[in-house]
Amino acid sequence: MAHPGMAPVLVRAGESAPGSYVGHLQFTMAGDWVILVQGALANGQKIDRQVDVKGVLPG
Amino acid sequence: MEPPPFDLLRTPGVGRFLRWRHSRTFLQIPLFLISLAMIAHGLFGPSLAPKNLATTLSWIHFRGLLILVLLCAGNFFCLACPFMLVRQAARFLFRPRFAWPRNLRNKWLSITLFVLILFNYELFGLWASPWWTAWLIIGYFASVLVVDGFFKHASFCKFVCPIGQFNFLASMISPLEVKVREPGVCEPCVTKDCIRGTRATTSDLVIIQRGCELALFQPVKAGNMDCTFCLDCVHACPHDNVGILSRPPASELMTDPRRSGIGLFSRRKDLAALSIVFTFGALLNAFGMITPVYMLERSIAQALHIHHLAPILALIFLVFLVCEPVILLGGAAWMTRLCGYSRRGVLSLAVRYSYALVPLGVGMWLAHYGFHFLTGFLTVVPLVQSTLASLGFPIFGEPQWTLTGMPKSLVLPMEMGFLFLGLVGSLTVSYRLAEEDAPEQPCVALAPWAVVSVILWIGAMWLVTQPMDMRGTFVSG
Repeated sequence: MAHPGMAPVLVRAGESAPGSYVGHLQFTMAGDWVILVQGALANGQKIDRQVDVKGVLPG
Repeated sequence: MEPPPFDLLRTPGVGRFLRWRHSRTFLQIPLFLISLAMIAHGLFGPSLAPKNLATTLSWIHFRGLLILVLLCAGNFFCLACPFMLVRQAARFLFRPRFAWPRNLRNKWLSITLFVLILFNYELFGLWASPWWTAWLIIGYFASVLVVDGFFKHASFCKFVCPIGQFNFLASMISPLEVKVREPGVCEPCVTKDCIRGTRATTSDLVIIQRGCELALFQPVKAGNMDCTFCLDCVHACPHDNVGILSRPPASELMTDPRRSGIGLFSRRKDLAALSIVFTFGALLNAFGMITPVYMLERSIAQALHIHHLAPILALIFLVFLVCEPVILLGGAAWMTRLCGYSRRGVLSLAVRYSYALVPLGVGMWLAHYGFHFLTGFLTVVPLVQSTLASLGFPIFGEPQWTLTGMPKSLVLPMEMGFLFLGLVGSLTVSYRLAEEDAPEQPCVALAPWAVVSVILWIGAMWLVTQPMDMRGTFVSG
């Protein structure tokens, strides 16, 4: 959630095929969300990616 | 005989500390350092709000603690204000030479700034922007330096500061007040140090202890309006006759004496407008964070073919802060006048009873800010862990991002409790005013104003039960 103070949703993605990872998460409230992907490559190098998900509508 | 009121300054630990001449500076220094850290992190730290000190500490911790301390004690945040530390330091370098302009000696400028902050909060999604939040803090420091650099006394606090006005209004329901202990002791006093300051024995022009810079003369000061709890009067009084005394919360709203530095509440249209903006702004600010506001914005955009957020927000603000109060308070005042319960005019009645809404306003701010604080107060832990780690000092280990605060299900009843207390407070104040206006039929005279309070309370209850929708983006069409 883009607003501070809100509970984050933490999900571990599993490898579904070589190089492909799948994780399921549920947005717990409407609004602007940010998905932060953290991982490590085979050579140990750490990666961080940020994906903005704006305007999640109420379920 | 009534027991003497509790006096915080007479308590062994806290009282002794507050009586210490440097207690204010002692409290200001850590807040100043935290402010600097927030500015630096806001400008140069992560752009994601939950990972930034500027946004998290400003919009979760500062606001939440501020309103809780105001409810439980008094205006202690103005006491520890870091902006005043900077001003004080600057005054060693240059002395202000001008008096604050006479036509600005009211609350209209601060009301405008208060509304502008609420407006920009929605327009720029300040809660989600560390960069803008940092600039807001920088802007505050700059404004203090400019205003109090040119103008004497505490012009910024009394006439400009929007946070200060918020604190002044909310502190009217606080249980503590800076007040004279024994009025009889003040009667023979000729030096009036509490307002003039303590002068050197060698020269009357040399002030060795400042008196009240907000023009509040202790013997005729009534209530917490305009009081920053700076304790200058406490330190200046040669008779040790000023304390921080207990009183029934909101009691100062139930009477209308001539107040030092303020005058009569019933003649201060600017203060009444501030109370209205404070109360209706509380509902508006909460409304900006729930799903229906986005539906409303989209509807307005489609109906008026507007694709920018600013005019849509301006329209919503106009309805909430102008149309709604005019209809509700104007209607109640008109009813009171029509039924002959008061000889006052419609405007005069609306001004008089607008102060009765303050407890309800405080209840709404408490419910809103209290919610964010109570559900998110632990987020500061992973934030500090992550900030230190990013600076190369992972001394507190891996950030525990799952730490948040109390569950929402527990906080909702507390929010409802705050709102109920606010309603009871507003009804009580209205009743006391109605009792004065129509001693023979106070309940009947109360009715129109009770309806206003109940309508606002129902609106507030509806707001806190709505699903939150914390969107910084405007999705039109």
